[in-house]
Amino acid sequence: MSTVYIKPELSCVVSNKKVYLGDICQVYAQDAALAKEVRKIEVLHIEKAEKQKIAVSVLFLIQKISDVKKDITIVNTGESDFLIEYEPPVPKKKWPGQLKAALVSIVVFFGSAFTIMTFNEDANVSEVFTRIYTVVAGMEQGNNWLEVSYCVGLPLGILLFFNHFSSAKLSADPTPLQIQMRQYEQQEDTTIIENETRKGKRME
Amino acid sequence: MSIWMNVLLAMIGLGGGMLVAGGLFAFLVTVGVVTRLAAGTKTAKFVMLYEDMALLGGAIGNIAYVYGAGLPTGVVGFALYGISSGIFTGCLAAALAEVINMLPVLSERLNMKKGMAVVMVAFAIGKLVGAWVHLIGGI
Repeated sequence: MSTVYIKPELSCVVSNKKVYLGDICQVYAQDAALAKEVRKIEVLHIEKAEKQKIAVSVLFLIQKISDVKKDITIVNTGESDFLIEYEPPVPKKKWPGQLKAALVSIVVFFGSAFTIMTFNEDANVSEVFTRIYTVVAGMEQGNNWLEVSYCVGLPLGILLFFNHFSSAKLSADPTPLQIQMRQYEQQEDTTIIENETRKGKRME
Repeated sequence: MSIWMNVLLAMIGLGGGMLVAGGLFAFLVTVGVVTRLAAGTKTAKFVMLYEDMALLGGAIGNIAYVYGAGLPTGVVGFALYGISSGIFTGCLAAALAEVINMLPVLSERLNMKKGMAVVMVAFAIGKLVGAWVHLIGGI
């Protein structure tokens, strides 16, 4: 009896209405011909030609495989519940995405300008500068050194934190926002799976 | 004034700026304002661009505050700044409430299964009325 290993990821994107096992998970078997055969098993046929997310239990895949291949052992090494995202294969218009990105850029740009101003106002930074000039340097009037260096230090700090500017990276690590983005998407996927499970809509 | 005193002042300013930036922007990222904006518009692949924008906005806004310098952009610039910072601050307030799990706790305590959407709209209208009364005065 031969063994087939399957490894589904938490979410995958398909654009064909006929979904084959090979489209949604990695398949390994010692016998390459068997693996090839298993990859070609049709597991799902999407009816509506619209964008949708389908929650699937790995038991559903195992059942589909055993329907076709009776005498094999199936081992799941990946997720036990996962999402299949169907996107109709329409030619994507490129500009709405970039337009949206431009709008978000404007919001983020002015938003962070606003946030740093409210922070400075809140923490009374001008007052603190005057204090430092009198206490540290014994000056009655500031000579601008603090202001200039503060204005230089702030973008440097952001640069260090975000780890890059434009495409010039300080190190090969992912940036904080990329990590946060990934976490958010994972949480979104698991929430959808749990909601579908609760509604009894998960494919078993 | 000796040059060393100026160097000391510059060190204080530089260090202060860097730490403030680190703290403030770590806060913004952790709360997830930009993530939410990117997820909502499905533009996750542009997050690096958004980080650049946060950097530029922070740097320029800071200079504008410290020096009281203005950019001659006129009414259009004003409107753009107003609406953008409004959206951003709104997201920040909502994200903050979400991070401290205010809404789930509330719905659990009140045993509320439905009607979360109504609560969200009430939240937004409350913000609108609050901001209006505070900034414009009277209804």
